[in-house]
Amino acid sequence: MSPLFLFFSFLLGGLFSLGLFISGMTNPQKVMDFFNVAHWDPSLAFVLFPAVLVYMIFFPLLKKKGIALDGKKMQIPNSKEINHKLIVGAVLFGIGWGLTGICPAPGLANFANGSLQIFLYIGFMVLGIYFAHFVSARKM
Amino acid sequence: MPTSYVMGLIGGAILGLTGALTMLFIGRIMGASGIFKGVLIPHLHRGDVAWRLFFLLGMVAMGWIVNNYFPQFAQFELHQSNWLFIPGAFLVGVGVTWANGCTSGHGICGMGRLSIRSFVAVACFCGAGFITVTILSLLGVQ
Repeated sequence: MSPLFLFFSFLLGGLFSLGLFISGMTNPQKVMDFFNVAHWDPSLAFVLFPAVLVYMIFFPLLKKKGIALDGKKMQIPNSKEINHKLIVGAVLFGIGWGLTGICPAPGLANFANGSLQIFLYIGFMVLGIYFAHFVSARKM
Repeated sequence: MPTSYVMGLIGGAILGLTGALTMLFIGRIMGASGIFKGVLIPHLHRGDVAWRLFFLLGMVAMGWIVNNYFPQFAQFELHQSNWLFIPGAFLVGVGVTWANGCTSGHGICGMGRLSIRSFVAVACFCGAGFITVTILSLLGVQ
């Protein structure tokens, strides 16, 4: 990929992070308050809704275009298979998200905040990624 | 409408727009766990690591800027004990690897393109999140 598109990628990462901070997704307590049915704070529902809607509006146009501005074919997943790996993985992720209040994107966006917790989070998430990759690579 | 709802709507719209722009410019799904995994396990996507690395650097750099210059947006309140937090982080890593995506990849991009796998994934991880936090709250653990 050309340096110009690597720079665009850097800017896109920055914009992604900015959206997370503005929305409040980066604050673990907000996530906890959203997941706590006993004292429900619906704020985060207001994040996912416009995010999905905006993507949904643009996606058909992008799909029709098919070629990204870097000149290569867009890579759009086409799997429709609902399998155990998807469901078990998603449930384990949900439990982990509930225990930490942090999903991967806010974890990475918060990386520079200097707290010990975020280093622990990234470190143990990395261990989990390698563990799961190793286990599923052995099975296949 | 409370400010947090308005900020949620604005931030969410930025997230959806960034997802669309990532597809337009780079031709890829904006999924944090997928992008991170591609850097951690580079042979999964041969010759395709550089854009991921720059995307992640952009995320961290913006995090640094917000923390230093706009601290009002960088609130980070965390009261969990490490006995729950550390296994939780490990489970996040395992889960997103097997589910092939997290809140951004499945939640925003996947549901945005009406992928059935993503709807199932979101139902499972949000459901598990609600149950986990609500049970811990009722037990008085957090």
